[in-house]
Amino acid sequence: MNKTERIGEVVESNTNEFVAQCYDLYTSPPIGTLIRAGETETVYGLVSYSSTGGLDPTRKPIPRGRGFENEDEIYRENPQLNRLLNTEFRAMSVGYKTDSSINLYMSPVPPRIHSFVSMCESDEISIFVNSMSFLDAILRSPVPQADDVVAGFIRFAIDTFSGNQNIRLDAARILAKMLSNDTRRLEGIIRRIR
Amino acid sequence: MNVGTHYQGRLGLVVSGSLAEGVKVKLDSSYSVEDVNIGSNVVIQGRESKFFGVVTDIALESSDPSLQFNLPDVSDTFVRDALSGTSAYGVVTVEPMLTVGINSHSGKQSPMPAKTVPSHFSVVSDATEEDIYSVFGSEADGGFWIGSPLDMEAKLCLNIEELVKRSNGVFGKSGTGKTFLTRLLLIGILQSGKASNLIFDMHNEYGWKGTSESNYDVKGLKQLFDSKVSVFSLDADSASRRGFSPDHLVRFSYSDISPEDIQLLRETLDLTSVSADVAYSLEAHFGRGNWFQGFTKLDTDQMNDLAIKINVNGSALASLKRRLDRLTRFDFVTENKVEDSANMIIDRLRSGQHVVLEFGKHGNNATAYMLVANILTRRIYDRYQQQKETAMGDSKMEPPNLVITLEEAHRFLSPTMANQTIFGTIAREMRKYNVTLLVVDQRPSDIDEEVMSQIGTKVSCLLDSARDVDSVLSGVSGSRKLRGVLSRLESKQQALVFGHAMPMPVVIRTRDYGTPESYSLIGNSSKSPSDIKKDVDSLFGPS
Repeated sequence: MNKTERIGEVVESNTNEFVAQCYDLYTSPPIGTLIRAGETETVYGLVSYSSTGGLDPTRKPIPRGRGFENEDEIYRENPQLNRLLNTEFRAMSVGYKTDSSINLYMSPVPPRIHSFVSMCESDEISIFVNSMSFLDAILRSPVPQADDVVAGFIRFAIDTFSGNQNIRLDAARILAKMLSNDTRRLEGIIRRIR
Repeated sequence: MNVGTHYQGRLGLVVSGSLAEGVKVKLDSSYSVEDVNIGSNVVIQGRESKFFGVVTDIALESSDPSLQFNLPDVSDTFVRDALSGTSAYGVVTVEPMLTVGINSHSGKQSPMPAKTVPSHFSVVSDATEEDIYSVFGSEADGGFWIGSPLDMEAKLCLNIEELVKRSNGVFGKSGTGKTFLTRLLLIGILQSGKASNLIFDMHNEYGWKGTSESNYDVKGLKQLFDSKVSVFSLDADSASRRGFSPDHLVRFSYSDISPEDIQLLRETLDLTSVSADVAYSLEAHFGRGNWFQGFTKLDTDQMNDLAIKINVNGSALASLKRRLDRLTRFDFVTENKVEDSANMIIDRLRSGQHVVLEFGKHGNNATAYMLVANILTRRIYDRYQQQKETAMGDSKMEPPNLVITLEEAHRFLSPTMANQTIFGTIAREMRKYNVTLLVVDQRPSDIDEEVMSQIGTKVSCLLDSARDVDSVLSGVSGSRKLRGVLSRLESKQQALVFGHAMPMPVVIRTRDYGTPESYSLIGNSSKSPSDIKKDVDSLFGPS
């Protein structure tokens, strides 16, 4: 996937998080990926949840694979599925861009509906990697998968900077400070980023 | 990323504490708790002033109380690295000793006792050599290099001028380097010219040469400062066996012995207080200066007559006689009037010479040691008192400072003795007459509390006994924390120095003494390399 490639559009939006629908089925970025929404008033989000289902909530998908060799064949034989199903993902707001800089905290204004959602440039990612303080807000959010989002972001950062191992240890130490009174939870995250 | 950044020498940040308990410093994650030593010096940069402190305690703490019960998987180095310094971290307690700021009285930058604590999050770092010099002074300021702080090469200096103004003490159990330290202090005093030394050298270690723990010879004062030092001896044979001849042999006559001396010798002579007091009656009867000779010559009948005449108990008199006969057997005590050794010593001291009095074979005899030390010191006391009184009319007559070095000092300064002997008086008040003591002892708890409280600067090597530690630290602020430091000193070449001549208590690694290089630094500084080579040869044999 091209890093700056546009992947979808915002279809639901509030100050805490926004939901984007992918242009193509099954192209949601992995949990923990840093993405941005909006061309002019850019808001940054960390992917925290993604789902695929039928566009029309009243029509449930039915099994179609009996008699086919493999799963891909179902989609080839039923091209309408690409229109009837869609993939959405949720992103927690972690920062926004102003004229001069990127602020690493929740945007005061949510992205507009139909804002383009795309992957971030590596210099944008490095700003978030250099100060992981925004992870604290995610750890304290009531989202059940918060630990996986945080671990996902650290793995994403390591991959982005081609396996820079310092990021792993520095991140672990920052998390240790954030979770200084909950070592078991910390250990859980550390296990996910090994 | 600011985590893991290690500023040069930075330990961590002040996080809590009090003036009474010392401030707590959370170690930076990059600074291992194993790199901190108790007793090391640190500098705390407060918001307005700089504090100078000493590490008095080191602890391991964790931000998660359950960490000690639910252990993380520490076999995994990644987990261990992530946790150490963050959730599990080191805390050191630092006692702020001094503030280095502008003195409001003198307007100069000088260290003053800390009257507050540094504010939260002040940065704490290892003290640098410059910090040490700014607090303790340097050789260039006229200080005497006595050793180095722990973990540092800086030369820690002692202010000799302040040192000789008060009585001082060197303490430590046997074999911890008291003699080496004392020798260094004596050399410091000698080099500075601020005072004369009179050394009661019980074990013949200061005058010509001494021996180290590892049994090689080290030079004494005479070898290093020939022209400034006179060695007096009670025992010429012992000196010649050790390969040198003393400048003078000390002799006393019967008339030099006074009833006060007998009081001091009460314990070693095993006299009752009644018997010892009889000496005063004898002095009244025979006259000052004649009583000892007159009394020891009496036969039994004359004794009985005398007992009735002066109205004392006959058996007390007899027991005194038997004990005093022991004194007549000392070869340095003669019946007839001899040249006045005491006066000779005093004259040398007044002319700025330093005198070592060696006891030779008498060193092991407590009676001889105490008798001689007391006779001499009593004379010195009288002379200095007179001279000081003269000096009140004519300031040119001011007597020079004198430091009397006294080994096994508890024999003279025990609670029962201190009020009676001349040494107790000197320790308490002779500062006014320019005479001070350098007390060397291994049982400081046996020294009278009042005397200990008058000791200005204390140099203490390792002490084990809690009573000794208490007595050395009595009256020192923060003594509870210093206890920990004192009882953890290494058994050699380490000492805690505190008191009048030191701005703050400090643990030192005593400077080397006994190597050719050390002699060249200490002695006549004009020694050429060939002389040093000669010294090397004499020490280790020609190469």
